[in-house]
Amino acid sequence: MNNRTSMSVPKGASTVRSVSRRLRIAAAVGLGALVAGCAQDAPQNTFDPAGPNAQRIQNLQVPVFIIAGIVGVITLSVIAFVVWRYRDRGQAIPEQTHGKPALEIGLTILPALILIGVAIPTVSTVFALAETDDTECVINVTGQQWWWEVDYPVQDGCGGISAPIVTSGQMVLPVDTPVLVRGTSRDVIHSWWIPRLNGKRDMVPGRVQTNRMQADEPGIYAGQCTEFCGLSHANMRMEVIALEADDFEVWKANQLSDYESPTNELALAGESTFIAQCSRCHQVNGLTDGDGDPIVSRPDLNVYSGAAPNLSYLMTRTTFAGAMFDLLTPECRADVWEAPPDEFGERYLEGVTPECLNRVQLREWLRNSPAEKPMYTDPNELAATNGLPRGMPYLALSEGQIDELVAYLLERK
Amino acid sequence: MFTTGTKFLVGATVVSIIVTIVYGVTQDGVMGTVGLISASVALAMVTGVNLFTRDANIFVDDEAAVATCPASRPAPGPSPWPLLFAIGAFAMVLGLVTVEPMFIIGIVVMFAGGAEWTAQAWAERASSSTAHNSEVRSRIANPIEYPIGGAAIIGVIAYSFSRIMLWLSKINVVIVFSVVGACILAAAFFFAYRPNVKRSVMVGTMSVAGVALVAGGVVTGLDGERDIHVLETAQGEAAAGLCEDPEKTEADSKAAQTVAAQASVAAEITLNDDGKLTKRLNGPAESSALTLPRSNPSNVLFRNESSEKRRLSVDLGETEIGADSIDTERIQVCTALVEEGGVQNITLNIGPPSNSVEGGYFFFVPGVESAVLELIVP
Amino acid sequence: MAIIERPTDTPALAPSGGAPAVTPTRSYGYLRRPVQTTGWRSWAFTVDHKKIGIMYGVAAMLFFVVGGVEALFIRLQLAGPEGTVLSADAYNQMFTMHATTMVFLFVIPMAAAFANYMIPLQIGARDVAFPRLNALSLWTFVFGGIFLNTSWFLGGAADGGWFMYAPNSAVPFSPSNGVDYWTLGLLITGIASLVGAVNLIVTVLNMRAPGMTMMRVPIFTWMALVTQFLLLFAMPVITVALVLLLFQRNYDATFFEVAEGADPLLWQHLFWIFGHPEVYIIVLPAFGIVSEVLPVFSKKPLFGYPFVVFSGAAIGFVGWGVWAHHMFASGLGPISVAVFSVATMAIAVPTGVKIINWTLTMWGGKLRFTTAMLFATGLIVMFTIGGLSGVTHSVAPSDTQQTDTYYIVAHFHYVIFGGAVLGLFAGIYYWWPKVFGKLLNESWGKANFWTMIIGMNLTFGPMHIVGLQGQPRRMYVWTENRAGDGFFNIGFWNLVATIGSFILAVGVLFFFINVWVSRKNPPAPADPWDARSLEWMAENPPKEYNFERTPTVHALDEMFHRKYEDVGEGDAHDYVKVATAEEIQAVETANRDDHVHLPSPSYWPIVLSFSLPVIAYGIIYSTLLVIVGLAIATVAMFGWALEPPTADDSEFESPEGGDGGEPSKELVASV
Repeated sequence: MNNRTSMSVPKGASTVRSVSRRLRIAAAVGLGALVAGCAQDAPQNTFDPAGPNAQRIQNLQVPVFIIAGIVGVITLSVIAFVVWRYRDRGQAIPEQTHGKPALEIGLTILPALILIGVAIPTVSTVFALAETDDTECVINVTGQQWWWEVDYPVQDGCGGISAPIVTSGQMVLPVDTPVLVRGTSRDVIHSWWIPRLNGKRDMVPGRVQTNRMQADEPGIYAGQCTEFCGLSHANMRMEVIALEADDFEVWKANQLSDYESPTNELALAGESTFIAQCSRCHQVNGLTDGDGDPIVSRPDLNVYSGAAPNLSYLMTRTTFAGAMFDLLTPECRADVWEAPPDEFGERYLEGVTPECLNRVQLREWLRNSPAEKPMYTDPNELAATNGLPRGMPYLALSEGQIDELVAYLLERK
Repeated sequence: MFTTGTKFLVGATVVSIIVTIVYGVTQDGVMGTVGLISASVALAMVTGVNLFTRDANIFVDDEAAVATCPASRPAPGPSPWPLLFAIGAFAMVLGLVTVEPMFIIGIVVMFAGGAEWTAQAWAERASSSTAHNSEVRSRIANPIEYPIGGAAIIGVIAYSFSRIMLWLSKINVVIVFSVVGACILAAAFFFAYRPNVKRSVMVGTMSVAGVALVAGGVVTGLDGERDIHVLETAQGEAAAGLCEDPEKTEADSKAAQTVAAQASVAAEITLNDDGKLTKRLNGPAESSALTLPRSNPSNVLFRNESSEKRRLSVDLGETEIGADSIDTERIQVCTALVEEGGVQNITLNIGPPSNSVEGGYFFFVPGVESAVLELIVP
Repeated sequence: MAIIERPTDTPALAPSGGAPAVTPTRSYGYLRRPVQTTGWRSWAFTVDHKKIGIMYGVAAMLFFVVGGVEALFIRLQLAGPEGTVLSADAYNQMFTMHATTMVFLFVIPMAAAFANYMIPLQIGARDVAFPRLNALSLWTFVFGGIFLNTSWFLGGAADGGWFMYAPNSAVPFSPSNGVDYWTLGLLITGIASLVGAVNLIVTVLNMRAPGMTMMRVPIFTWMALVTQFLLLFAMPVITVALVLLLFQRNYDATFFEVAEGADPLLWQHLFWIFGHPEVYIIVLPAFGIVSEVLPVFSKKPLFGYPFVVFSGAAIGFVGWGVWAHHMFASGLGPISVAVFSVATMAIAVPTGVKIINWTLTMWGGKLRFTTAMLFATGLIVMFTIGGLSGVTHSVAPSDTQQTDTYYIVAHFHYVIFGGAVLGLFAGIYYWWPKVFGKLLNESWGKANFWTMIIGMNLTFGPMHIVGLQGQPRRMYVWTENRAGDGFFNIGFWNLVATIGSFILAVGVLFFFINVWVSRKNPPAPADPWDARSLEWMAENPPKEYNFERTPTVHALDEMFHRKYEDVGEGDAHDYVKVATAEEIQAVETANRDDHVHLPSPSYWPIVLSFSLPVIAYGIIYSTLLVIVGLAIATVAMFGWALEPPTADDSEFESPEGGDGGEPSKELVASV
């Protein structure tokens, strides 16, 4: 299942899909005739697998939907027939029969048999999707109100990772490689769900959960936290970025590259503003203080849930604030999201260029983050968390400071 | 109309008033007068109460009843309450010279016996009908008797049972519990399927069981509990500075903390016979180091497969202490000493990343030089 | 209350010999009992199962409106991308309270209303087994519901979802008092359900009329009985969970705190062990109602009565073994997931049996499509759809794609709205003349049905699409970026759902209009539907003592067999009406029972119920208030324990006339 042959028949797969679509709608809403739908589906369409794990689910759920649809059509037709045929037309009072046990038992066994037919492949799929030993690369995700941290442990897999890589909001993985996501949470339960790659898995604090990820083609795969996690649950999004192996190597190398000092004056001012205002929580690897000592952020002392996104290579990602906002302007975003698979890697690795930066949104965020995203940061309402905010607090930055910070952050790639 | 008692009290009141007036007029001194006035007032009040309650004879209106009063009123039935009251009084006095609980029990028993006595005495005077009187008593007393009595019985059962269970050894507890439970179930089945079984048989069985339970509870309670291991927590070990000590303290290998944590472990670390630490977690083997997420509680199970008692310690680098930041202290946490083949849990919640300290973080086992495992916190 | 002592021919027993014993004239230790038969006191202190049933229904309908308005706010917020009708916080409270209100304050009490009113009538009893407990469960539910909803005005309602997953329910993540209100409110309404369950179980098991074996019990009573057993075993589980949460939030316990070694999944297990049987608690009474309605309007007995009974009981059993299918994504491990997945499929079988039986009940019948019948038929269709979408996510891997998306929202609304609510409306239309003595208007009824059905399908149908297109639940906004375009785009179908929800609201409004326009309808005939079960042997509305004579039961569908006789020969059947309901009732009246004793009303149930929210406010705000509440509770319990079952004769109001000047003590209230 997890090789390319199954994937090289997209035509066939899409036929199955549209059939299933018809049936599920027919069964669900009763909208009979419908357009075959050549327009683009939502990026989180659950019937559009892009990897072997999701495909496995697809292979199971399409027949189930078809069976459910057929059973539904038959049942509803019978009911419609009965309603029409036996309506009161003045016929005599019918026989007071209390039922026919043979018929009854037959009609009990029939659905039971159908369900046994469904149960067997279900069980085998459940076990197949729970496998962890055959994966070749491990990526940790940690949920926190309301963003995802992604880190790559030191390992031989993923083409070898020599030092831990920490990023957030977007998980980058090599195509065609079975990846094991190991996840947990720092505060409440979150759920990791990339519909086109696999079903969801709750990330429960104190537990380490696993979820297989594998993409067949380079591209960007949208996801969303699906376990209600409090105030900004709706804004807790994430993406999986699949890159060709060599592109992935480039990405990895960049994530481990040395700190680049700001190149212009504004950005240089931004560095000191960053150190003064942001580095308590946000780590930028390689940043040093006046004595040359590395600056280590301590979000564990300053944020209730204990972490804040690592901003060392912010501009290699295309989103920020828990993937709620795009770092790219809408045009540049479309360039990345709608890029054909063979051009995708190149466009993604370009990162956020000064022309493409969504300055308006980034500035709004720096100006007053709690107004942009519902969070618990009002100092008057933090008694329950010992005064520690959940989310990024209002920093009262001046417009000048914001200019500096934007310039500084723009070079973090 | 007026009973002897009433006549006596009315007379006494009148006499005391006369005496008071005479004394007050003839004699000097305030004390005597005040005393006599007090006596008069007291007697007058008692008389008033007596008149108001008609000497506790509520059917005094009923001429026929009054006329036939002594004959129609049934003699008081036998009552256990005076005896109970006396036992209570005895226990209380005995408690004064022996132990405090005895004193308290005495008071409680006395209070209970007295209350019951009062209720019964009051009810026996309610009417001339014994059945009605008993109903009146039940109506007043049962709402208090049943909850308190029920609670007392449950309390005695639970306490006796727990004494017996804590006295038995760990293995025998399980056996006794199963056997007794099975017996109760069997007896219940027997009685349920034989509704005609004699009441006395049932009461007898229950009494024997009850007496046996209480007696067992008393005996075992006096003898004391078995030895019970005290659970040592990892925090306690660290606070005591024992993380580099290969010998001190021992914890119960089946500590609840460990069992619960097995459901949600981030990694399992094993100390093998060859003195090496190996780790196990889901998925393909990573490098030799273990990566745990930052500032997040992670459960790590430590399994001791070596032939000696060992503990797993974590070294989290040095920190500066004191106002002048001259002294440093190593931050360490560790499990309690784990017996051979035993398992212990340690919950790690690490804030700063491992690259923020020189040398990084590492697991080690005191007393086993070769057992070291790098811990990476990104 | 009613005490009927009709004069008899035999003289009263003379005391046997000797001087008459002196007997007391009064009992001790209780207040005069409330004996009013009119005015608010006749309702507040009543122990009559019919008045209690009506009040249950009215209160439940009020909460239905509250929950419905909350739903409309939710739909308004989601009508377009980046909705701004509600803030994130308000939205979270809204969906939490919508579900909580609908489940705990509408569907359960509405089913309790029917069970309370109909069970004694259907089994030929004069009242439930413990009438004062019945009053207690009503008022406890009412006060609990009000208490829960006062949180809106006292710092915000609960915001953790009706499932209230730990650790999101802990104080740091939900600092307002909302979750405390939720916890305590559900504990209080839980007491109501538990008390009611015990009461109704004892009633059905012990108080059936002579001749009514368990296999002659009307199907609604059967399903209600199964429901009460489910409540009896499910409520303690949620109570345990709620107490743990209460202690965690208020007394520094750490049952769900990971840092202390706890596992938050404990909450999920406890919640769903309650929560899944809860689903059947919600739908089974409605199943019972349609199983009554369909045979009446098909002029045929329920097809396979024993199968329906046993499938109901089977659902009641298997319903306990499927809770973890709510947790397929929570990381239980493949073995648990596989087992629960298969068990979930297994429960589809008895559920399917019911649909088959209903269809076959109609097969070959003589179908009259009154409003009640329309709702019942609507239930079969909508529940079939909901059931089949349920089968699709009993397949665990498929469920990991669908759980927590709008597809699930669509599924359970088809099951709960299409299954339970349509059934309850069928019951309302069917039994309205029984309860109020007047028929509801059929034209408005049909308008009500069709608007509701159209509204419902427009609301919940599109949710299948948006769910499969990947829109998760419980999101206060959705974004254009994830909406897609083309036929299945999330934006269009969300708008359709919002429009549908308002059509649905109009449908519900039609019901209230119907109640209003029907208030002056002429009295309904004794048997407007040509019904089949025992409750139609009582008058419309029934007298306080229900039946003139305790009926003797000879068959399932007793009423039908008293009305009709099969005069056909051999295999040919020809049913001839031999008696009308009026005639049957006249026979009963002529042979009425001479001694009917019903318990008197009581102050104490409502007082005891009132103490519970006082204690609950006290837990949130001040220990002093707890003490006050406990004092009230203690007084009420002792008052309750001390009062005898019926009031003294001297406490009754003066007798309202009598039979021909006879010294009768007939003190019957007109309901």
